[in-house]
Amino acid sequence: MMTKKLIYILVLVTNFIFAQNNAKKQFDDANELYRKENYTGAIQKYESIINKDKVESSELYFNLGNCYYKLGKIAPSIYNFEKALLLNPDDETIKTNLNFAQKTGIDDIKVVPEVGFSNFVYKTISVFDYNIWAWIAVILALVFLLFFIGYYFSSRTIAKRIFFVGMFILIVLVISSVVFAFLEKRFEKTIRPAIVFEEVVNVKTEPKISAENAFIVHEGAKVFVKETLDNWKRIQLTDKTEGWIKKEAIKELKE
Amino acid sequence: MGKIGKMKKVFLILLLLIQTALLAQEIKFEAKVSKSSIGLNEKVQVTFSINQDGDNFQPPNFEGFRIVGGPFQSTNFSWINGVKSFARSYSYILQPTQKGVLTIKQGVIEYNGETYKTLPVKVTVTDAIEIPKDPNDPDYKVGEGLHLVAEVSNANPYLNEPVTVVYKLYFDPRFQVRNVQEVENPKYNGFYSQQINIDKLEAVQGRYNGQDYAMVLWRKVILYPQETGAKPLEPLAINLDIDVPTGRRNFFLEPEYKSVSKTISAGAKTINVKPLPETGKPANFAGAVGKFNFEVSTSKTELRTGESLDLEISVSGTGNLKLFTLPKTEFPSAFEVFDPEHKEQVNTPLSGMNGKISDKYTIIPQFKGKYTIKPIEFSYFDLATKSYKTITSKEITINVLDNPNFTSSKSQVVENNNKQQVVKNNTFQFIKLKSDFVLIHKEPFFGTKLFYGLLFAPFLIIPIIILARKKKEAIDADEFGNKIRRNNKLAKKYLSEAKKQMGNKIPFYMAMERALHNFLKAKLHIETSEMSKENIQEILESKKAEPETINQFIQLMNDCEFARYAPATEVAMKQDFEKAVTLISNLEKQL
Repeated sequence: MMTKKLIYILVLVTNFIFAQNNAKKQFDDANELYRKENYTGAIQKYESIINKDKVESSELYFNLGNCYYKLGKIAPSIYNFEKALLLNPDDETIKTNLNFAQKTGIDDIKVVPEVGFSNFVYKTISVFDYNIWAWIAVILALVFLLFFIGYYFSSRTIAKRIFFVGMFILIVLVISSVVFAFLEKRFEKTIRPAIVFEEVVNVKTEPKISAENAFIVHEGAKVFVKETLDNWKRIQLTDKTEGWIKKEAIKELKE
Repeated sequence: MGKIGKMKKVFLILLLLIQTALLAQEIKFEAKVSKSSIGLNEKVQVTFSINQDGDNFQPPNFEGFRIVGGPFQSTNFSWINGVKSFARSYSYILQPTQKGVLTIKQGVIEYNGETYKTLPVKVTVTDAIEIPKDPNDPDYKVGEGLHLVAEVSNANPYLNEPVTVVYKLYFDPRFQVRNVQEVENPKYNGFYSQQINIDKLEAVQGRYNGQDYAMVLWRKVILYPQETGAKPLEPLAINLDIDVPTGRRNFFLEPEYKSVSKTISAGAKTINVKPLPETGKPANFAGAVGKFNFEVSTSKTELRTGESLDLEISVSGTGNLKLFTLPKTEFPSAFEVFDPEHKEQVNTPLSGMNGKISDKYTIIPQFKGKYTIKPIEFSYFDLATKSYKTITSKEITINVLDNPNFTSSKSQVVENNNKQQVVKNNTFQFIKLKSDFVLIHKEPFFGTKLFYGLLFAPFLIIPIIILARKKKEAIDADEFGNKIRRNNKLAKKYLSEAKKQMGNKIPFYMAMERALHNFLKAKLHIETSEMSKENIQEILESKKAEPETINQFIQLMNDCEFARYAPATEVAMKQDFEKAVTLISNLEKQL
């Protein structure tokens, strides 16, 4: 049982290393094609990295977005820039090019800025992936153990006191890391951004074709998916307007 | 018989006398019309009659009518069988000039210093009607030489297919036509109509019903049906004065003319409008019917931010140009677009509208970048092939360059949204050349058993540490017990050593001896100095060990001592070892 698992991990790791190398080669080739302005070819190479090697990176999505922008395809361009931003949320280069792509889009949807404590919490928690928060919790628990040992076995009062206070701080940190991991995992599930791919879509007030039109969105608009019902998804725009849209009209970033 | 006849005569005379007396007293003044309901092209005679010799007759002003004839005055005086009767009448022949219920007002007359008035009379005037042909009617004679004809090009058109209606006036070339005016201007309900102006009315030669006539094109109208179904056209009625030659000549041998006023109408037709076919109707069809060209063009394809360019969407050709809307397009959000300027350059000849209509958008790009304007589609119904056609414009790419002197009105909004950095860095960035890849499907760690194990392990270790330390302290505290444990341990150690040395006489017995000594030390709590056989025997006895075992033990100890100096076989050594093991276990039980 154990050995089986070990072999599995080993295969995975070697596979990954192989994929890494292959991906890097493909990536360089694609970059070369981009320089020669063969954007369609570059797109094919970039996408084969994602589909065949099953690896991704912020830069990969960014370059893909650039290719689509050069070809004038708004929706895939914005989609890939947004994906790149998900992996690397503070990159100015990506933000700049995303801005360029958004300007080519037809909709100019106002962004209602998130304010308040909940947004602050969200921003803080989103610094790390929930798996990383989990590892942080584990490491902190280990440090807690070391502090306990230090406290338990040291003979000097001052050292004992320091270790004791440290233990309290650490236990608080461990608990908050676990809570953050939980929250982050929930955010991952509840915050579902998506990009509109169809050129013009009527967003309905109810999830049926005969329903009244609530508003119209165009290719490249960013929406947030709130619910799914059969072939319909309830979406919210960045300016907080809501409606139902057909499933095929949009592509979710976290799928 | 004779008696009855006489009686009758007397009665009749009596009756007449009374009547005459009555008539002599009553004055009757009344107005009568020949017909109370007439068509617009008919005439009506109104007669005001009085039964006394009235004076100063004043007719009403016949509002809504034109006096065609009259006043004709007639006086009738009779004296029959001694009875005087008098009647005077004034008649007028009137021609209505408008439709509706018209009132002929009161006529006034004086008699014996008193004024008498008639009651107002109402006349209903309806649409022009076809006057039945009566060859004896003098108007009919004129009518034979006068025709108004409406020519409709297509009585069964499609929706928005142009239909022309041409009104032609034919008249006998010998007639002199004067004073023509339209009495009824038809409204074309359900149609978009456009009149074609005729600069100058001109009589040309024409044929109608196989006869030569002078022909005047009176009016030309183009109709675009806007509704489907049977749509009646209202007739056009015109009134004209005609001088008809009487055939006689006057004193100077010039032909003599008789003037006739006449109203004629034409064009009361029903047009059956067909709907456009539903099959193959494009979704973006906006009602254009005809034959068109569609074009989208820009004044520039490369410019700087803040400069303006014009985008023109135009449709040219023949068809209902003024009756449909041009397709619209949507622009990138970075473009500031002003409301389009609509232009129409349309001529309307009889064949239908032709020319060009266009929407001109003025655009000011606010950000640099490469923008595409998506192809625009325009669909129309082609009357020649009776099918829908769609024209798609080409995609237009507009390259907007940076203009350092221009600050976008939209960027200020962005500034407020804390996106200043994005704007500052306003060039499209090149691709990134280096990258580290990670697996798309990462193995989840959070929530796994491994995670919980690693998280709680340190906390589980804490009580273990505490317990271990407690035990160690307890062990440290118990010195006596420690000694026993140590001796016991040593006994076991030497015994196992002896086993190893089996066959080597001297080390074997030395180990045996040590093992036994240490066993005693542990069991009897004695030191090596007190180790004498007597002493041992005494203590063992006091501890209530079985005497036989004690003897055997002492025996074994002695054997071990002697065997070191005496020859011993391996078998003996084995026996001794087993003996020691059984003895130790026996003593263990007994003590």
